[in-house]
Amino acid sequence: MGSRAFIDYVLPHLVDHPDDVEITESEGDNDHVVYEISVHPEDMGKVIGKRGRIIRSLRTLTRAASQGEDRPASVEVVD
Amino acid sequence: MSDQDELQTTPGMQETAPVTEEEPATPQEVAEAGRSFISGVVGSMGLEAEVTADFDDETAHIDVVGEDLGILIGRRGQTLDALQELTRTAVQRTLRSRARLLVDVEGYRARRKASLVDYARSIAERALERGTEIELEPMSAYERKIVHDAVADVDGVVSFSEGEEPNRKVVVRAE
Repeated sequence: MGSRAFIDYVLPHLVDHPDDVEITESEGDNDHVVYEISVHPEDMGKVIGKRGRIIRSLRTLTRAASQGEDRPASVEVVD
Repeated sequence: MSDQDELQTTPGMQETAPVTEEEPATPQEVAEAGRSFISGVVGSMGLEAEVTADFDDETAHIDVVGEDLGILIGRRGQTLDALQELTRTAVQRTLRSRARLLVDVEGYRARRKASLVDYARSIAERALERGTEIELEPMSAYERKIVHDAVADVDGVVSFSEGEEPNRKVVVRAE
């Protein structure tokens, strides 16, 4: 339970191709955990959303979910 | 002038979910899908909370109540707004339909609405006294609508929104 479980749960709900969702963890600046998310090319626009609304919401909630964990978590979309 | 359109049909909805006009989902279906999604979110975050859903003619209402849910509300309700945005998107994807829903955590929106109405009225009175215009802090479309409605109850002042999201704000002006 926590930020990783959150992103694992939510992301497949936002796309048309849930089987193509991949999430990997990497080290970010300032001792952040970065969840690099990769989705089917057709779903790229969906996880970002118009004017970035969806990715912004994902980041806000992922950060909230990481409160109480060792390191703050953030989200990046990768090709 | 009004934010009403923005509230009812979020711009970008067409992009984030295919909308089929033939069979729009009922508020009851939206409420149940929203409750299910948010239950999963709450569980994934390890929070102790109860998620309930209700609906009226147009809108589904999903309420989250429990212990220490401040992290789901965030500063000025930003995390709550994000939760609502993701919930709407997920529900629209599940139901293949437009969805109108409001998410609340620990009654935050209800309390915020009451204090916003008081605040908007006091700002309207001040603008009226001074014969000037007063610009408020940035707010979500939902909150701007509450302010517009409250200002509309005061004679001699008008309100409108200006600026771009997420910094769009209400201006209250003496007529």
